[in-house]
Amino acid sequence: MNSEAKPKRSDTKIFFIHLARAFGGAMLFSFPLLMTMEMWFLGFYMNGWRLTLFTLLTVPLLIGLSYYDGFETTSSVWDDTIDTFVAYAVGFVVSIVLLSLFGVINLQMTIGEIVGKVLIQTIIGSFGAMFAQSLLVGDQEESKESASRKRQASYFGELFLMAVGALFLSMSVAPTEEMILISYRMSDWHTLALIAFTLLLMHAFAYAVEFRGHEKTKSPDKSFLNVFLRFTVVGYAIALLISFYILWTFGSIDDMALAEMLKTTVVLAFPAAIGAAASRFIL
Amino acid sequence: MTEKKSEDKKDAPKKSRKTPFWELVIAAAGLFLVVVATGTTLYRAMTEETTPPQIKVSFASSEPSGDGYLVKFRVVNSGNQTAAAVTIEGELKNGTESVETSSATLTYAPANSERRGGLYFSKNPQQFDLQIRATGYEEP
Repeated sequence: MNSEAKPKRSDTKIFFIHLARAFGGAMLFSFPLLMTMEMWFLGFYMNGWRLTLFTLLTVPLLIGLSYYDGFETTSSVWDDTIDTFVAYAVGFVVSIVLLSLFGVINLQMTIGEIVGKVLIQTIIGSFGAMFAQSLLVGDQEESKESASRKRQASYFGELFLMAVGALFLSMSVAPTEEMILISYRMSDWHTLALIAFTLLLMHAFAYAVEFRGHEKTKSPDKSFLNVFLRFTVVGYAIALLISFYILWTFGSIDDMALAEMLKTTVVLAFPAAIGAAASRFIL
Repeated sequence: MTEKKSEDKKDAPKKSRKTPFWELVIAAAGLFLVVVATGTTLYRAMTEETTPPQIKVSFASSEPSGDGYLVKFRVVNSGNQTAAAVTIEGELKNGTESVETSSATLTYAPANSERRGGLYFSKNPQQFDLQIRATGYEEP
């Protein structure tokens, strides 16, 4: 009897510890974008449909991320869903507090402007809150369990983690003017060289992960071609798609010629690819 | 003893953790935020017609400043498209004759929002006829 009352209280206590950790993660990961002026401006000129889509896509992504790697060890989809909305709430609070402290939002602005600025940042903050587990590791027990879950990740699970990694890392530079500027500076040869370099980098990561034994069902075939086709090429394709989606969401490549669009996508796919490749290490 | 221990171990991961009350409260707040956020943006996206920036510049105040005078102005964009690099020009006139012009550039005049800025003149604006207007912008 006595022991029944106790766990309840300690569950709450543990939750608040995890919540604090989530706040830490949200700040750690979202401050670069909270301090990026293009992000503030996006808040008031971003297309409403695209922001809505982006927010709605965040929910299943966070649920999936929570399964592999949330700020709490979860035991059901219900738990993952709850954690997702907790992460969103944390992201929201962090965005509102920091943007107010920086003077980016104030009460003289219209509600529309404030809401726009906060909502776009909330997405990044909620990812940060969810990432808290892997970066600010607390309980040994827990990290072991989620680590084993990651180790058991199926091929599609790995691809999912790669997509999240790509999304997260590319998001932190995608809104900046520099993405477009870099693509203007690059010739077609530069573009080709960047593609080759990115593939090489991804392959090095994939190879390293393969020998670390990230996947439970290790394929006996670790030949160059096998790893290259299963992870490097697929990972790069994911990085390109995510980059294109992010650029489209932020409206950076609207009304561009197809060739220019592609070039900018390749530029952003560089950080996206690093994120995708490293996600199998970090996440 | 050993039996009980192994049983506990087996039990622990299976047993679904009871979600603490405060976790539910915060999750509910998060869900509420997601719904409200997507709801309002979707509503705005659906109902808003895209009207071009409609910029109105109005005089706010004037005071001596440094070697000359400062005229503060307010820019209201009542259109629902944002204008970037908005150039504001102020002109002091004596009848039809132009006495002095000054200009300022606002990085952004967001849709349905207000921005403030100032123009410097060397002559006292109160002794002349002051006209302030926006002369151009760039699409963001």
